[in-house]
Amino acid sequence: MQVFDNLALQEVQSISIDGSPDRLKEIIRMILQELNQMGYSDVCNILEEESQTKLDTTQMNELKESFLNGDYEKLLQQLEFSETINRKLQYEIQKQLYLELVQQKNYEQAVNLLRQLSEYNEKESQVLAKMIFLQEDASQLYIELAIPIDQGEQRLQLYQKTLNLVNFGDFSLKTQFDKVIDQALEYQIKQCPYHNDSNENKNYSLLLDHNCQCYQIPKNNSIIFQDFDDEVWIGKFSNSGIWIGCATRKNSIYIISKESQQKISKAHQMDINSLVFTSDDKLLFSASNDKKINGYDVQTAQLKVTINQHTNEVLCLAYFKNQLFSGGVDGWIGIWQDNGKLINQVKSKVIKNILITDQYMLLHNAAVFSITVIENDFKFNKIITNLEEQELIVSSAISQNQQFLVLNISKEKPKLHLWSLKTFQKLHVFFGFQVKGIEMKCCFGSKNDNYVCVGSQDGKVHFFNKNNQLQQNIIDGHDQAINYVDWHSQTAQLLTASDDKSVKIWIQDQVTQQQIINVSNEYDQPSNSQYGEIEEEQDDHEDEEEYQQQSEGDQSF
Amino acid sequence: MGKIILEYLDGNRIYVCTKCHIHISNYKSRISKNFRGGIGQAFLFEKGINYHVGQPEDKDLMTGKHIVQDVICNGCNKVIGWKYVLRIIKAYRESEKYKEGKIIIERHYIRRIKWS
Repeated sequence: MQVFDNLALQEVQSISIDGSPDRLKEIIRMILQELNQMGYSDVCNILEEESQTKLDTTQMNELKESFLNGDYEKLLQQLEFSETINRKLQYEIQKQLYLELVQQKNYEQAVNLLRQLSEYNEKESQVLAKMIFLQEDASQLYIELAIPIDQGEQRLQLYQKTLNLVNFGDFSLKTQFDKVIDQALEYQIKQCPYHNDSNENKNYSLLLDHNCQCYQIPKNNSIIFQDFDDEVWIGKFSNSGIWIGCATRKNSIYIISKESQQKISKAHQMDINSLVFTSDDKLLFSASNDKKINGYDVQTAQLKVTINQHTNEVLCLAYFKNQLFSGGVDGWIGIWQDNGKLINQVKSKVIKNILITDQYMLLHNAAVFSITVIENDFKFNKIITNLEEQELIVSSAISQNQQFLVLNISKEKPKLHLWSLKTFQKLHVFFGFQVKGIEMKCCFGSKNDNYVCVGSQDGKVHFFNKNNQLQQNIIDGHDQAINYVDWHSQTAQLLTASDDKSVKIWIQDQVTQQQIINVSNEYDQPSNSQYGEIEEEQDDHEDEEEYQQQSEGDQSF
Repeated sequence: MGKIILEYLDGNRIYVCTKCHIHISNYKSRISKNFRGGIGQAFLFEKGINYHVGQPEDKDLMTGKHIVQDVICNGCNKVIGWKYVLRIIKAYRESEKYKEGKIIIERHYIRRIKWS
């Protein structure tokens, strides 16, 4: 059923000859209505005179007169409404009629009407009933009902109530002007590509078009660290944001800050899979395919502790509440103290990544396409749920507020899946960046974790707004693929590590002077690397012998 | 060009590439040990991971004429075996049909891990 919209209907009925409503007239009418509602009736009159347009047209005038005269039956016939509005309006008009009947001391009809009224609104009807039976306190009862005592005013009030009811279906006092403004604001917010839903800016100014500035995206390059010995595969901020731990293709680790850059050559013999800082930023742990976990002192870059207990590749590390978690191909997760002592072992599948929140431990499985969610108690044996995916999950990250999880699913077609950690439902899929068979890290960032950030094969950095799924921004980061992104929430810095052997830091504010820092001063760790090399040679010899024997056997046969 | 995306296998008794240690296949998938390759013994596996195939070629093997593709390890880009191509046309010996779609990896190129 159509809702009777009074201003609009008036316009349509009083259209000019050329067939289109006069925009100017409409604006004036809207202004008149607004002023009227605000109470500036004098200004209204002046405007009406000067502009030669009246707020009410003849039809509305007739309607108004019907109200003021109390022609209630005619009224109910004239206006067409929806079911609910009809009922409400009928009630209001009947109420007014009842009051007038009581005034005229026509008690029989009044009581009949009262019965109908009580069907709709019992509470008010009880008050109305008192009018007949307790005549003395009439004025008190009027105040209770919020109705003026004078009949003329009562009718006017009824008229206004009707207008409001008819405009919006509720007894709100909104005018067309307000309605249009609200709609416009809603539209602008929807269109705003950088819209940030924080509570600070809830009252948007009407004087400017709403457009959240993209100040939340760190697109200004403040520092470039270059001259790494090869492609940089991992770049991670420490908890304080002062230090950065990097791992390159040549298995070197760099511990970098603005003041000092230290390199640990050949920290491992094989690919380094993960780096993690301890909570106090004193140690940096690294896990590698050579089955070892090394812990380095951040200030001096000395090797402090080595954990050898894994028998297969260690794929991931995590640090939570002074405990180091490690997982890999072995099929068990080790929980260690900072000094390398094993506290606990948890059985698992092959784990690609461990993400720990206050409530859960999320295990990114490497062989199965799923994330296992385990309750974070001391024992880790209670599985809460499994987040299933259709394809291989390449990388994973958790938001700062621990409510969201983003997964990089890029084996076939590059995309990110956003999951909620409250409802364990998949929320959204983000497209747009490029991947060609290499691992790319994604991360959350900015206040309230509004953005999801991922690097791309062509060197660009893509930001997606988590709440408003229009693609946000793409910045030209590097010339070659970006392998790792890390966004530090407190210092609002973004780190991008790339194949072009450099790491760049990005901030929100304008950069006056870009710093370029070469990281090539070396603090070699000779003892570590030599030992490693000797071991490797021995292994190779053993293998060759084995195969030689076997092939001889075959030939003789 | 970045760290390549690798798949992994759960469970025990996994075969990995000798050079780069990435998972190729496992004991469950192994159908036969009785194959001969250029270098020595070779295994027939139902399926494997972390490899890609080269161009199909016609080859004359001990068991007859077949169309095969090189199986190349994703990590080190070495040819570690071959794969019999799924054919639609019946032109060759029926008894060899069971090999189609499966891969053969030469023993020299793979190692065992997590073997109980």
